[in-house]
Amino acid sequence: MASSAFDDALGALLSSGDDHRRAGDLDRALEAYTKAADLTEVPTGAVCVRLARVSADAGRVDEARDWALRTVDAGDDFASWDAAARAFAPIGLAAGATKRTVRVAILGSYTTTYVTRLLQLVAARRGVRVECYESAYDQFRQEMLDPSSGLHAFAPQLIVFAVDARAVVLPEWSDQPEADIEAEVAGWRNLWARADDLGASVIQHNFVVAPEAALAHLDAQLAGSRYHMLTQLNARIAAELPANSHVVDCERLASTFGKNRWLDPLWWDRAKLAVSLPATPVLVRHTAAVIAGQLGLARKCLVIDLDNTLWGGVIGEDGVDGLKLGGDASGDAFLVFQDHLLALKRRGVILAACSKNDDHVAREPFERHPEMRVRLSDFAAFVANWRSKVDNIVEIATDLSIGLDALAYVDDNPVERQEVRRFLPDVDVIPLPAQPSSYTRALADYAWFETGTVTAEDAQRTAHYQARAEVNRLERSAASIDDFYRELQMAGSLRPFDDTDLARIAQLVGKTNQFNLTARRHDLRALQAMITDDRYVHVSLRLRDRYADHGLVGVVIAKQDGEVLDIDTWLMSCRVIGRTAEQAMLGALARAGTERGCTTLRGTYVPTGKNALVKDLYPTLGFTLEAANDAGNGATTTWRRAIDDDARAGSPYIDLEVGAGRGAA
Amino acid sequence: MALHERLQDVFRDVFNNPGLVVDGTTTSADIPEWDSLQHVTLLFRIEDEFGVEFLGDEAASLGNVGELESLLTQKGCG
Repeated sequence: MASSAFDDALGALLSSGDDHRRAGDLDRALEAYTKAADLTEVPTGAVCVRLARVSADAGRVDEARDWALRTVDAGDDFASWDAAARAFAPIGLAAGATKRTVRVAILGSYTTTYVTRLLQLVAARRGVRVECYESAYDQFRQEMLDPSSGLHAFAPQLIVFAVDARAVVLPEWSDQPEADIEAEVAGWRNLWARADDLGASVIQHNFVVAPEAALAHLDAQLAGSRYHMLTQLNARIAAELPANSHVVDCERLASTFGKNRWLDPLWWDRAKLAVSLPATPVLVRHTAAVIAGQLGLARKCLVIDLDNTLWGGVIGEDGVDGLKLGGDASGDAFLVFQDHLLALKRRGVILAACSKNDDHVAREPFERHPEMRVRLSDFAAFVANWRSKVDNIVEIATDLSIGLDALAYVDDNPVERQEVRRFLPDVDVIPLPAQPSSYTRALADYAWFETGTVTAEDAQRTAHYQARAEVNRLERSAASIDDFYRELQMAGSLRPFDDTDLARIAQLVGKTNQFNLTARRHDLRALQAMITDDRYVHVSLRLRDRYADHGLVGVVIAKQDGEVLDIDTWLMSCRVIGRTAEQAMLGALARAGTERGCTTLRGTYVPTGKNALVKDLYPTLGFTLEAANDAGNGATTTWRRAIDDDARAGSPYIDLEVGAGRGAA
Repeated sequence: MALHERLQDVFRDVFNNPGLVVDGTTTSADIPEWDSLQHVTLLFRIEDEFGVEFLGDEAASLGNVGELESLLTQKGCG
């Protein structure tokens, strides 16, 4: 459809919807807007906002919320985001869709009202409920330092320093630039230390260097120029920010966006807005991405289509020699794209291939094309067949044992993209433009791979996930479940807690959601106390198999109560669920109980909304129901089981070395 | 579309009120949601819709919708 005819069609549907809404005919308004939404691959912001509003009018809260949040996907249009944020605010995130709640203080050197409001919207789109505190205009230093300030009462978990270069004390010209920069850095270090006192991590916006310089070129070389000093200051801030705090690189965002549009002096004069309204969605999207990364909600895996995405052409028709890949203008773009994928992999993003092809045909370019940069070994999963992309993406997630909400998907084909959006709404779909030269930029603009740290382990992550995928494939191919367990060749150890393991144990106790019977979040100090208390039995499980060493993956804590051993905490990492490790842990508990003269095990299941996986664990292990007590979130149940040979036997499939010690037997 | 209708559509969209009717005498006192922040949004949307930029004191001194319309007319809109 030609662009003007398309604009006309869209405009006509929107005005028709507007007329119906004005006349109170909400059903027909909804119908017209829905048609408008179907005109484009991703509904425009204006359409999403209208659907959110008319849904709210009609009392359809879930649809209103959904459309308000989808506005964010339509692009960085300020007017739409602002309207969507207003529609969303009175509704809020559904309890079931809330992955995290985080208390964020926005400390600004300018009017941050828009930043705050839009941040709540875009964070909600990622499942994060942001409770916000905003400092009074340009009062961030005072509020940080004053223990009686509203900021201190709010007790933030995260502090966003939403600051602009006006907050920097550096002069226009300095005769002692190094000392001046040092003094400025010291001021920020002091604020970060106060944030640490408050128990908050810092998200630091760095400084956008204004385009206005006395001498635009020489200033870049003169150490005393403010331009030069601000550039140095940004580098110092990046280097000296404390652990678990992160920079939002506003200087780079503004350069990409266009500084003349990012910094609009008119809006500073009018409303003390240091970031122009059209630029605010970009700033907020990236701030939210850094927050999500810090919360561990980054997308972990990128699923990549092959034909016309990883290389130019269709391998099944063009053959290896006919592919566009390096060599000329139309092939070079794909090499740049492949290099970018490898750069992501180096930072811990797992790559997976997903293609509609015969498997051996899809592998040919990797085996034979001399220009290929990405190798088969770079993929944690490689799926090529003629089933739908939706089925294959689900299989990839299953093989890698990660949620669909950890996946992003990139494909040149709008039909495939639509199918994935429709049937797998948890997967982020990254659209590619028609022009392959623009692929890399489109992927780089996707912000949600942003993660808190890059460690040596991240670069090795692919190998770890390849092992996981092998295990899951073995499960599907094994003749019986017994064969599967045996072929895994599992071995491990059951040992009482010791000091070296305690940090890892505390981490598991703090974050394990699915296989966690009671979700009691004992901290390091509480765990240390249990180790020295004779009443407690505590066992950690380490497990390895033919594919990987999983490390410490299971924790159980029980307290002796006369002849009863009462299970306080029992959890396992999702990596090793479904492998009889729970029987092995039951065995350790039962043997420890026998040693202490206990005759009975008692277990409790506390439903949390995330641990339905283990609802039936106790009956499966031969426990019988003792009591049920419904406290709103579903029934908390308690269970009993006699300690007998059967319980003490453990798992026949896991070759165990059993550690000596007071806790475990 | 005439200037008045275009302007009214901006008001309706900004204040999410499809039935909103503004005339020359409408001021911020007549629209409860028209606070200082929404004033900023409104200004931004009007400039965007009409492709104009108000000078410093023009934006500050706008008393009612009638003055806004005559200012837009002066700037060659509608």
